[in-house]
Amino acid sequence: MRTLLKYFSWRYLRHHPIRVFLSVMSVALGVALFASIDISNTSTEAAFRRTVRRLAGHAQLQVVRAGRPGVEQEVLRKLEGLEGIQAAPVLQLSTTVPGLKDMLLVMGLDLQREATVRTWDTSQDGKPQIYVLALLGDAIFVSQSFATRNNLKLAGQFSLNTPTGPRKVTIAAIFKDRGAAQAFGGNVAVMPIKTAQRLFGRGTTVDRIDLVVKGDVRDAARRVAATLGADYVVQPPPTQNSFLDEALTRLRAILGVGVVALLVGIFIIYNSVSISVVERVREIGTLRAIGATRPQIFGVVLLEWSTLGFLGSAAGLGLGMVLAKSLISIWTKEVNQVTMIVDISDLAVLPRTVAGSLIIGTVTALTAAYFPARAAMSITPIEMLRQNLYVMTSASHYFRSFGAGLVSIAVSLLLMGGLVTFEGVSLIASFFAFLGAALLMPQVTLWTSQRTRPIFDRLFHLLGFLAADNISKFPQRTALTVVALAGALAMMVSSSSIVLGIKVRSFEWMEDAFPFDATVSATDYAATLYADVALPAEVPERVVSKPEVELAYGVRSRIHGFGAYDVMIYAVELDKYVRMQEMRGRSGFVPPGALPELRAGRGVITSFNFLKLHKLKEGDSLVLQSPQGPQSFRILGGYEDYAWPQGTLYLDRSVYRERWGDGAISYLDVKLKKGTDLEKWRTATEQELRSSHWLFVYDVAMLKKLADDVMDNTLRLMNVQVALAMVIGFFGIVNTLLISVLSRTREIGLLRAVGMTTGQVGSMILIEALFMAVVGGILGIALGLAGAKWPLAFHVAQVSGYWLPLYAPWTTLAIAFGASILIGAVASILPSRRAAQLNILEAITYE
Amino acid sequence: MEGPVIEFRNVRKVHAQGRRDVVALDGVSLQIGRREFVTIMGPSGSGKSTLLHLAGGLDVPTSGEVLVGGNATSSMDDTTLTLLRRREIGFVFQFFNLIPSLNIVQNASLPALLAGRPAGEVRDRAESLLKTLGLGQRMDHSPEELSGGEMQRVAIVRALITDPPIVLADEPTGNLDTATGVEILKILQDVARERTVVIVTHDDRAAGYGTRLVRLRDGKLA
Repeated sequence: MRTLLKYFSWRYLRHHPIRVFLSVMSVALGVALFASIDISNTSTEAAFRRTVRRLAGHAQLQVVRAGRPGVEQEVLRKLEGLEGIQAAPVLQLSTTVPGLKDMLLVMGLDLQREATVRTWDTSQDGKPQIYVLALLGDAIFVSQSFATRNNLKLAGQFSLNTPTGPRKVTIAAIFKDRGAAQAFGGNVAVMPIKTAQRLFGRGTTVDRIDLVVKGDVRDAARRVAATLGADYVVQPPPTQNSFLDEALTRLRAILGVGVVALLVGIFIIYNSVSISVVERVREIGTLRAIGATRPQIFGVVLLEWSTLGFLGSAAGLGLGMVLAKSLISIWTKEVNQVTMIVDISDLAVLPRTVAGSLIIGTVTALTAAYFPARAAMSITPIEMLRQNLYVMTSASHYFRSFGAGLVSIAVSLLLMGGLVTFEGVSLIASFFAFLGAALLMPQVTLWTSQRTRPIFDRLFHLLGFLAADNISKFPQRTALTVVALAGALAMMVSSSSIVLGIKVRSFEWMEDAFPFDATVSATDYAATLYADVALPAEVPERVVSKPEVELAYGVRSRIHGFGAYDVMIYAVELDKYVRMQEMRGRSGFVPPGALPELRAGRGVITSFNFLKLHKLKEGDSLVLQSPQGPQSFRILGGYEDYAWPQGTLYLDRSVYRERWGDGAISYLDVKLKKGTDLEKWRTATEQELRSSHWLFVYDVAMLKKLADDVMDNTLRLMNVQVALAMVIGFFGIVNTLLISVLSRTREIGLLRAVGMTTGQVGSMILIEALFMAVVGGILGIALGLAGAKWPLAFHVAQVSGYWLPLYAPWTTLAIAFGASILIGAVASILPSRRAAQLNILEAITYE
Repeated sequence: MEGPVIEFRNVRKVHAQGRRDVVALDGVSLQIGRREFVTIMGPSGSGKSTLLHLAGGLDVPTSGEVLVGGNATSSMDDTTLTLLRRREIGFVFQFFNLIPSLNIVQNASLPALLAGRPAGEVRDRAESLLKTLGLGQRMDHSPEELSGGEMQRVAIVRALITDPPIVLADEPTGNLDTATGVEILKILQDVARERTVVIVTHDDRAAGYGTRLVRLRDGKLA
C-alpha cells in the first residue's frame, strides 16, 4: 500500500494542487462551521458556570425569594441561629459608568460576613490597602484591571449611574484580579451593602443570601427551607439560565449551515475523485495487469481522499476556533444586553469537539470517495488497452434520483407539519429539504437545459449552444453545484426574511401598543434592554405637571419566573392607557369589555407567544407567585406582542401594587398636547431631569431604531455563517467548471484548432457558469423564502412562540441574485484561463 | 508569378520531452504552391506531423520561419493564429475529432459559425457539401452512428466549410480500412483541384494521388 500511495497517489495529488486545495477547503469550511458552533456553545456554558462559580465563591447554597425578587434582611437573623451555616447577603446588579461602554457588575456585600464566602485580596506587600475614609461616604472597591483601564487610584473618585442619577463614589480599595474579581474581565465592583441599597433604591432587601455550609449540604438545605418557609427557595448556585438557554438554542439552529456546507463538500470531493479515477484509467489498468488487487486499488483511493478529508478537518478545526471567537463576540453582546450573565474570555475546546471535527470531515471525504473508489476497483486491464472505452458516462434521465428527492421533501414537510416535535426538528427538516433538492436537481437541470437550449442558441449562438450542450451532458455535476450555491443563498434569504418579519411585526406592534409620544425611563436602552431600576418617586409627578403633557400613565416592568421561563410582567395604569388609546381610535392590548376584569385583578392579558410557549388559551387560568401567596388570573385575551421573547403578561398597576407590594414605576409613557414640538420637549425634559437624576427620554422613533439595531446584530451573526456558505458555493462552481474543462479537453482542443479564439472559449465557460449562477440564484431565493415560511418559522415558533408570516426582503433578494451572478462570473475566471492555456496539439490527442 | 502558399525557411523545431530535448525538424526548407497536392511520408518520428502542425499554425518553429500566404506564423499572436486557422486552413485529423453530441451538420458547420457567419447560410452550405460527399441521408445523425469513412467525410466537409485555400490532413486514412481509405484519398484529390492539399501519411498508395511526394527522415528532408 505504501508503494501505491507513493507512486500512484502522491504523484497525482502533487500535480493537481488546485483540485486538492478545493477538496480540502470544502471539507475545512464545513467542519469549521460545525466546530465554531460547538466551541461557542461549550465556551458559553463553561463561561457561565465559571462566572457563577466565581461570584458564588465558597457558597454551596443560595436563598432567594419565591416568585419575586427581594430577600428581606430579617431572613439573616433567622439563619444565624442555624448550626454549621454561615450566611452572607448579596445585592447584585449591573449598571453603567458615564463615559464607559462596558457594564459594571456591582455587588453590595456585608463586608464582615463576606470573608467566609469570597476572597477580595486588597493586599500590597502583605498588608491590606484600604482607604478607610472612603467608608464614611459612598465607598466602592474595584478590581485592579478596572482601575488600570480607567486610570483610577486608591482614594480616587468616579461617577456611577444609579436610578437617582450619577453619583460620585470613592475608591476605598483595589483588589487583585482573583476569584470573583476576574468575572466580566474585571468589571466587578463591591460596595458596602447599605451603600448599595441606598444608592440603588433597594430599601432593606437584597437579591440573595449566600450560604457556606459546614457538613452535609443537603441536610443544611432542608433545615434552611424548614426555617424560612415557602416564601423562600434554597438552591445551589444556578447552572442554568433561561436567557442563556434560549440564546444557545438559537445559536445551535445555525448548525443547518454546517450541514449544507458538508453536503457541498461531499459533492465537490465526489466530483474530484471521479475525475481522478478517469484520468488514471491507464495507470489503474496497468497496476491491475501487473498484480494489484481490487481491494488494494479501492483502499488506496479511499486512503487518498480520507487523508485529504482529515487534513481538511484539521484546518477546519483551526478555522472553527477563529470563527467561534467572532461568533461569541457578536452573540454575547446580544445576550448581555438583556442581562449581564456571561463573560467569555477563553475558548473551551473539548476533546470531543476535536475528535468530532476530525471524524466529521474524514467521514465526509470517505463518503464522497466511496462510489468513485468502487468504480476504480472495477477497471479491468483490457479497458486500459482500448481507447475511449472508459469514460465518465451520463444518463439520459435521473428519474430514480428525482423520486428519491420527492420522498425526501415529503419527509421534510411532514416534520415541519408537526409529525414529531423535539429540539432540532426544524434543523432535520431543513436537512431533508436540502437533500431532496439535491436529488431532484439532476433531472430538473436536464429538463431546464434541454428547454433553454434554443434560448441559449438565440442569445449566444454557437457558444450558447455548446455551453447548454455541456450542461445537459453531465447534469448531475451541474445540479449539485447549483444546489450548493442555492443552499448558501437560501440561508441568506431565509435569515433576512425572518429578521424582516420580526422587524415588521415589531414595528406594527409598537404602532399599536404605543399610544404615547415619549417615554421617561431610568434604563439606558442602548446599553441594556432590561434593567431592574425604577424612576425616582418624585419624577412622574414632576413630568405630568408640565403644561405640554396631555396625559401620562406609569408602567412597572419586572421579570418573573413562570415554569421554565422568565416572563415579563407589565403592570400598567390601565385607565389612562385605555384613554390614551381611545384618543387615537384604538384599544391596544386591552380588548373591549376586559377593563373591569383587569381592574378588579381577576384577569390578565398575555402575549400570543406566551400562550404558545405555555400551551394555554384564552379562558384558561394561570397562577403567579406573589408575597401574598399564589395569585390566580383568568386569561382574558391574547395580544401580538414582541416585547419579550419568553412571553409577557399585562395587568393593572393597582393590582400589582396591592398584591406584590411594589408601587414603583419603571417608566412613564407621556402623550403631549397637540402642537407641541416633540423633539424640543424631549431634549429639554431630559436635560432638566439630568440635573438631579440619570434618566432618559425616548420618543417612539428612537425605540424603533433601538429595536432595529438589536435585530441587525442578530442578522450579523447569521451573515458570518452565510458568507462562509457562499464561499463554499463559489468553490463548488470553480470545481465543477475546472472538471468540465478537463473532461472537454479534447473538444476544446478541436474547437481551438478549427478557429475558436481563447476569448470565445472563455465566453463559453462564462455562459455555463452564469447558467449555474442564475438557476442557483432563482432556486436559492425560492428555497430561502420557502425555508423562511416553514422550517425556520417553525423553529422560531418553537423557541419563542412567535409565528411569523412570510415577508420578502426585496433588497436581500436583489443582493442574493446579484451575488449569485458575481460568484458565477468570478468562478469562471480560473477555468477559462485553464482552457485558454491548453496546448492545442496535446488537447487534441488527450483521452 | 504567384508565390508559395506555404513556405518553410530553414525551420528547426525542438520539443521538450521530460528532461530531454527532441529535435523534430532540423533545418527544413520547403515551398508548397497553389493547388498542389503534397504527400509527406516518412517513418515514425521523422517529423511529418510536426511539419503539418507548423503549416497549420497549431505550433510555431523554434527557429527559422514558416510563412502561410506570405505571413510568418512566428510573429503572430494567438488570436491571429486562430483566425488564420479559421479562415485560411481546413484541418482533417486522423481520429476525426467530431463532437459526439452534435449532429453531422452541426459538426461540419463549426468553423463558419465560429467566424460569425449567418447560421442559415452556413447550414445550407454544410448540407450541400455533405450531400456531395454522399451523406445526404444522414444529416440528423450523430457521429457515433456513422462508420469511420463517413465520419472522415464529415471531417472533410468541416475542413471545407469556410472555403479555405489550404487543407491539411494528418493521417486521414490511418483509422480506416483499405477501401474506405481509397475513397477518402479520391475525395481529397478532388478537393485539390480547387485548393492546396497537404497530407501526412504512412499509406504508400497516397503517393499516387498527390502531385508531389516529400519524404522526411530524422527531421530532415530525405
